[in-house]
Amino acid sequence: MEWITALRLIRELLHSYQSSARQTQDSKRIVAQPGRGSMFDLRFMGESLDTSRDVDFTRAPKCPGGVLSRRQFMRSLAGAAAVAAILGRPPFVGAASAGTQPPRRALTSVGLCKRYAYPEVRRALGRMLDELGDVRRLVRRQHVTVKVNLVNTSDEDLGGVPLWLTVTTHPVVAMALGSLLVEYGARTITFCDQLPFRAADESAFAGYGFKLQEFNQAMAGRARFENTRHRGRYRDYAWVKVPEGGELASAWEVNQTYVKTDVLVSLAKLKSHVSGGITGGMKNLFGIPPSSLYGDDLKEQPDEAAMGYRNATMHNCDRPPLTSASSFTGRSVKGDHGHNVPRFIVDLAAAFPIQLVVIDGISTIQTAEGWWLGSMVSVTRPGLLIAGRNPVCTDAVAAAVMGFDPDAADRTFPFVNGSNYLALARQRGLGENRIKEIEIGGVGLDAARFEFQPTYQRAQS
Amino acid sequence: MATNSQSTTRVWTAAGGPGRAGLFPGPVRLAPKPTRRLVALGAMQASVVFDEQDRVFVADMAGWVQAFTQEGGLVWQRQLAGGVSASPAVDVEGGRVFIGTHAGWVYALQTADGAVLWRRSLPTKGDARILSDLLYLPAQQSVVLSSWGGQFHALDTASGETKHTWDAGLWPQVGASADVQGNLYCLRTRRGEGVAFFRVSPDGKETVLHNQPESRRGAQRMAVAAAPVLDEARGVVYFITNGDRDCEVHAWLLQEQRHLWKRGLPRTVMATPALGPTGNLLLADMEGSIHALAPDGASVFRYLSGADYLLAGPVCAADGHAFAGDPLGRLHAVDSTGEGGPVFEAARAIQARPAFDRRGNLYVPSTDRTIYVFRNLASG
Repeated sequence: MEWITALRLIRELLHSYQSSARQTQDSKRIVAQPGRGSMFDLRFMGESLDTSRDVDFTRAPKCPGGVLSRRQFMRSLAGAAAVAAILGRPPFVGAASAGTQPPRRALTSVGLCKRYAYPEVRRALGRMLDELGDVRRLVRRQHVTVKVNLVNTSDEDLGGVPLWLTVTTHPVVAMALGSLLVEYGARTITFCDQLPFRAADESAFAGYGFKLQEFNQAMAGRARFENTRHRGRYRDYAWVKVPEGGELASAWEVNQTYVKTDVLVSLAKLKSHVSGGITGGMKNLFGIPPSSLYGDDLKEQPDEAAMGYRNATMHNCDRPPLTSASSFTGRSVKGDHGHNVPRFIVDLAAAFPIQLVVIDGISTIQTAEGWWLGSMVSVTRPGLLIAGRNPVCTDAVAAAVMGFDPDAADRTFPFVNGSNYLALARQRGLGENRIKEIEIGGVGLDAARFEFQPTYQRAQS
Repeated sequence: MATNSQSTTRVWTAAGGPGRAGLFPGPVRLAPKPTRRLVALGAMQASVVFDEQDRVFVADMAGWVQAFTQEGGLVWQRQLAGGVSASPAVDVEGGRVFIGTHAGWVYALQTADGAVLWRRSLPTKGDARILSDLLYLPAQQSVVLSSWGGQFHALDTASGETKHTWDAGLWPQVGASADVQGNLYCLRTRRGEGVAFFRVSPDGKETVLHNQPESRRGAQRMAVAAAPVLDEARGVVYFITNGDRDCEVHAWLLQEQRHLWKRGLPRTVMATPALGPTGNLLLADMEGSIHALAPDGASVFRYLSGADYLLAGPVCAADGHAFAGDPLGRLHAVDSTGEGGPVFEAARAIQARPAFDRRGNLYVPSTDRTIYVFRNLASG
């Protein structure tokens, strides 16, 4: 009896999802994706429920974590609670299909590259992506979204050294990656991040060295820039739930750029991070929740003009975001960045499965993540690129390259101010962080190793 | 200028040698290729130092310290608690090398065999890392350094106990320099005050010599990273105050206790400058240029390295040839007129200042875990 009830509830949820997808399709310009399979492959007690016979997603936009309208999201919360009550476990124990989920364990490639010369970067990156083996197949005829790491202003520098040599993804790496993906057959490459500018997207990106015209020259006109600090050109936001429920967030309300895509790429910067230990492909997703709903400059209502950072909602956790429904679990610890940030990283990575990570480690900073941490940060030049299909594996390799143990205990370097987000991610089944279990290609770990000065340790009270 | 008894010789027992001036007093003509490669066990961000037995001490980012013979033979190696990016200091007469680590530990090791004579951790509520190049003061039997605990420390060389401390300001990472009387010259930044250049006498008395007001972005953004450089022959100490994007180079008269001149440069300077044989000051900036300023502050030349920025300071030979590494791994040789170019390229970035041994052989540490040794063909 319990089984029948549970399956009914599941079917209802899936139909809700289908309706949502179709509704979205009707009201938005959606790129058709013929031939794509179902989003969910649910497995209960060892049995598989193939939903592709019940739900036609062939023309629906791809949402890695599961996109819902607000209404469907609210209904899913109720349904999920009911199923969980019956089965004693969360309803969405399966993840996305093989087509949308990264492999749990995957080769990570490390390449040496001294300078931001376009041909040199493209050549190095091309070798690495070839080594990964399936990137061509991954992006062929697909719409690709590249989440870049541009942080929260372009009006800064580090003692006169530009942001792209220190803090943000270098435009040459982005352009080289985009050019390769186009060569592999990608239909469009949308570069996105939330930028604190009200100017048109093209102008906002230009401050970070991202010039749309140059990108389009390198990418046969297939480059797009999207500022995702608000809902942008979309009428609505998308709700993306965290499979199996998140620890601090059960779902995210985001700009639809992160939903209307076939492939999500995280193009990050190799840096230390005071709260997260390191910043790589997974931490880069922190830029997805829009300022308009999660920003520090919000008063009592969502605001499409907001541009603030997410310190209060996702670091200090002293106030909830102003999303259209409550999705934070309340299990954050007020004021403890080292507890909250790693868990939000994992909740984001679970909801938005990254299918390719590229980390720009050619020129960067050590000890902390940005200019706002003052003279404690210093410029360093690892001369590296790192790429992988699984974000946990890739970030783990990045940590190891920096001279740290990616499986280090909480409150030890580099996770000295909190929890080890890589270990949390492994526990959630997102990938492998134990370096001995990860296959490393390219020049290999030993040749790539470039120790960073350790992450800044906050004063103990 | 001499900071200890052996500094009248050519032995560089601390980063940059006597007065941190980076000036080798003899002629130098480098072999076109490295004649030896010393293998480190981590990336190199610290300069190498020497003793009078011609041992070479190498400390790396993985926390290993190694001693090599001049011929490149390994004498000993030891792993410390925490990586090292601050250049060690050597007490030649006492046979000790002092090292500070990122974990906030200070070690005194025996130069002969690497045995730990003492070690101590610096007190702090947060981050005790040591990034400042160490300085040994023989007359006081002190080793001087700063830590991110926010203090300069003068430690007793026999026991490691603190003799005295003084405020190092925000994020201290710059080493002190000393004159023959044992006066220390230091820099620090403070909120609301900007950058202070000050002297600490052997009895611990502190005198602020110059205050550079806060820049528009505030003191927290005024990185202090280049150590003061002493030219005692001319009675001048040089120091750098970084602004938001630019810097000012100051010449301070030691006897008269006043500014001789100051001059702006378009970009910040993070690396300790070098002195040329005629008193020129050589500065590597964060725009990739090497500037030469005359003793009166006039510009002599500006050499463009072609790199995005320069993290390591230059050194100079008696004939005026300067040598500096860049983040692309290239070693540049520049003559006294500013002519020159890359003479060698390592596999990865050079982020530490080169060092001369007493024969004028040049040791170039690279982040590729190699110290490239260029023989001085002029030494016979």
